Amino acid sequence: MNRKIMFCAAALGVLVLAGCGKSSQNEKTGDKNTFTILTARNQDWGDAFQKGFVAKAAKKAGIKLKWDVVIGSDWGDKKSVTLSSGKLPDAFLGHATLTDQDVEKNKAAFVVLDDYIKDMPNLQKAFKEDPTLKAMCTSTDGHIYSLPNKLAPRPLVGNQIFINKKWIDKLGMKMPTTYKEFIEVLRAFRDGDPNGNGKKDEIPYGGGSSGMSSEILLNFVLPFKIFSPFGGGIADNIVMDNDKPIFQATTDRYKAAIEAMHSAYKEGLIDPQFFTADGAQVTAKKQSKTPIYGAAVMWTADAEFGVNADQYEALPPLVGEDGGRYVNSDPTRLNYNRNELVVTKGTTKKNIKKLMKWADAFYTNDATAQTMYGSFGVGTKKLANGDIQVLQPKTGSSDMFAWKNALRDNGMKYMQPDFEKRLVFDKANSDYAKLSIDKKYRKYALPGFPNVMYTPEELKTSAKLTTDINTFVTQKRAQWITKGGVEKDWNNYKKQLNAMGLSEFMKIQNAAYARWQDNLK
Amino acid sequence: MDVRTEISTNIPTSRDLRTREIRRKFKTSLPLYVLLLPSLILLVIFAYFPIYGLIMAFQDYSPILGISGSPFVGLDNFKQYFNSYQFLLTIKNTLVLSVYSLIVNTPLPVALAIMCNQIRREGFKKVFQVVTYLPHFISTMVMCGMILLFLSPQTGLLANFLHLFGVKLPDIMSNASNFAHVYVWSDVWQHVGWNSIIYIAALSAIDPTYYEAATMDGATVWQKIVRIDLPLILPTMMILLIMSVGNLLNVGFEKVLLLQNSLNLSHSEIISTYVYKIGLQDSQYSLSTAIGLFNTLINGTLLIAVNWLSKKLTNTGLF
Repeated sequence: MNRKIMFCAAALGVLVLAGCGKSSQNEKTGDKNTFTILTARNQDWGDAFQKGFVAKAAKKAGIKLKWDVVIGSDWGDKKSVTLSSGKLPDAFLGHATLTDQDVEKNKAAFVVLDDYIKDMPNLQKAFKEDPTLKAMCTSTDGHIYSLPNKLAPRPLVGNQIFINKKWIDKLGMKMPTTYKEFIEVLRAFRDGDPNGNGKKDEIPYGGGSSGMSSEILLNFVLPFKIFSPFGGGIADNIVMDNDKPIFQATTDRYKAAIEAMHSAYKEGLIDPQFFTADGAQVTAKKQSKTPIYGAAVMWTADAEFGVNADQYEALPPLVGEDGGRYVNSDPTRLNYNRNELVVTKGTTKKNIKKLMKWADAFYTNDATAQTMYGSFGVGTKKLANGDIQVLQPKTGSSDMFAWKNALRDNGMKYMQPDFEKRLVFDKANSDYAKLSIDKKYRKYALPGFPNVMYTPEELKTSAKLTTDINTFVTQKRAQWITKGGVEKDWNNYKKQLNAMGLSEFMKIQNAAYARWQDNLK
Repeated sequence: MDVRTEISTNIPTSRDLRTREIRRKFKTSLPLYVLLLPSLILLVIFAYFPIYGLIMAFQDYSPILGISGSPFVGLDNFKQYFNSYQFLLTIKNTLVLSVYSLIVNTPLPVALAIMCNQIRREGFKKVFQVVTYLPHFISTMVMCGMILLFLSPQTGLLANFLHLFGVKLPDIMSNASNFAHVYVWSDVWQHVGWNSIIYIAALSAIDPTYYEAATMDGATVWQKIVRIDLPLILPTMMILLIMSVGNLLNVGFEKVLLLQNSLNLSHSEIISTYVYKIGLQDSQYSLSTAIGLFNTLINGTLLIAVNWLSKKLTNTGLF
């Protein structure tokens, strides 16, 4: 009896140990030209990106690649375990793998690439043509730990307002050109039953939800010269004013803009649930059979409005309070990235030069088109005159096709600006829709606060400051727009921000910006 | 001459007796120990072993350097949190939510269990029980979606229902002071049935002779509840109360985060959501460990205090 039990217990113990021991696979590090590369992708994108150009370039450089593809949604949890496990891949590919914080805090584990970059002719050429690329990847200590990319072809205009043109026509109005006219049109949307269902269910300006980024809200007051950086984060409230970074949320024009939004909200021009709805509700409203939204902020209309997408058109930049026209533009966050290739110190015995030769092959026009849309013969086609045609997939969206067959936004890339014109698109391509809107309005784009790098100390201080300050600003903004009171609260609000350490926060931003300017030279 | 020594070798000392007794007991209950072993291993690996990670709270942690290599910074991380503008706010919000929820969630399951216990028809009793505890199995994510949809002021279930009577539903989620009510009462709806199960079990364990004697003496239903049911399940109540006090500051993180929006943030930013934002989103592992440790210390202190109080007052306690 007892023996039986002991046996069972022993068997159980063996099972447990077997489960633990699985990760200790022996890795062959003997081969100097084989590199393990980790990249993060969505579950449904597959591994087709490894073929075509990427594989050919590796063959040409004389290296073998072993891919470690992690699922993007799991990576956040796995990352710190991978970093602390001591078993790092030879390189991380794509900015979806490591953030600035990860690289800055763990520099000890990564190879300084300065010397290798000297032998990368394509990248050197790109640095010369576009100094921003170099500033993007130069760390706070002056060294380069990661390779950058510049996505192309890409727009300068970020998320923007799309407005229901069919409603405007039906109500006998014109596309608004000033903020005043815009408000008039929204009023008409509210009262005129433009969707014709006899119900007063129209929402003149909508699209907001509880987890939204500032741009969804603040595009409304763009005519007040209020900008919203792409994607938020540390720089959510920092904009460039006369070539200097300033904190936007304490300026007088910000106050005026919030006041204007409050009166629009009071009139019922802004969705009463703008700050409280959840994402699913917003999607349901956007895609309802009878259109409900008059205007909303997004990347392109066809990606969001479902069956009614053809009724919506991009709102041209309105003439602002000061007579200028503005668009939200944030090129260093929209189009440039760093941490595209980070090499770990485990490779010191390997032939890093060959790996960098492979990486350098990515920085050409042809390579960028192929890593953006799919290799020649799959997603792209080289035409006789040297132009590149972007092939339209027979089924499904062109965007999804590109994510599946190419690295898309991840990985090393650089295309000469002139070459972007030589890409031939099908009109149904989703990139084409944004690019053709962008062509009209990119002239209004002003430089935004660049995607600067922070030292580990700055990151530590600003993590707390950013959370406190940005949360407070967002909270107050929502309160003022829905309930009013900006005039009354304004001085206390500014005092409160100063008490939170706004000046220290801005000192960090200015220091980082100064370093950025130095790196441009 | 050797009489004494002979005696001492033949008659075992009390110490020998004890070891022999222990050995015998161990032998007879060996199967039980073997059954216990897996959970003990799990407990050590997943609950005790990770405790050494708390060192991170006193370090400037970097994953590559690891816990053994990261530099020590003393109490810097704690100071950073204590000096934060959010410090008092997050503590206040956490306490409001947890104390409110404790006050509401302790008596209601007892009431429900007693109600259920009074139902005489077996079939109805079973249906009643299942219906009340079923919402417990809805995941938090779905639950929050339901709350937001139901409370939507234009298209929500509640708004449409009130509309029938010509009443207009205010936008509940945009009013910060409503947040605690929404949080606590939706919790009641979801968990009251589940939490009452343990009381129902305690009630069914009560010896029926008490009731028979009470009936003989002409006690009313109400008197039976107050004089028999309540005193007999009081120990269960106290234990559960102590355990929930130990979790006082561990307010349901997912639920609060999912119900948060910029309009109710002043009442919905709690310690754990703040840790999430500052720690995981900004990769400040040390700071979030420090805040987490602080949270645990408060929980531990409260647990011991309530246990002491409960022992004094009702003679029941965890330890």
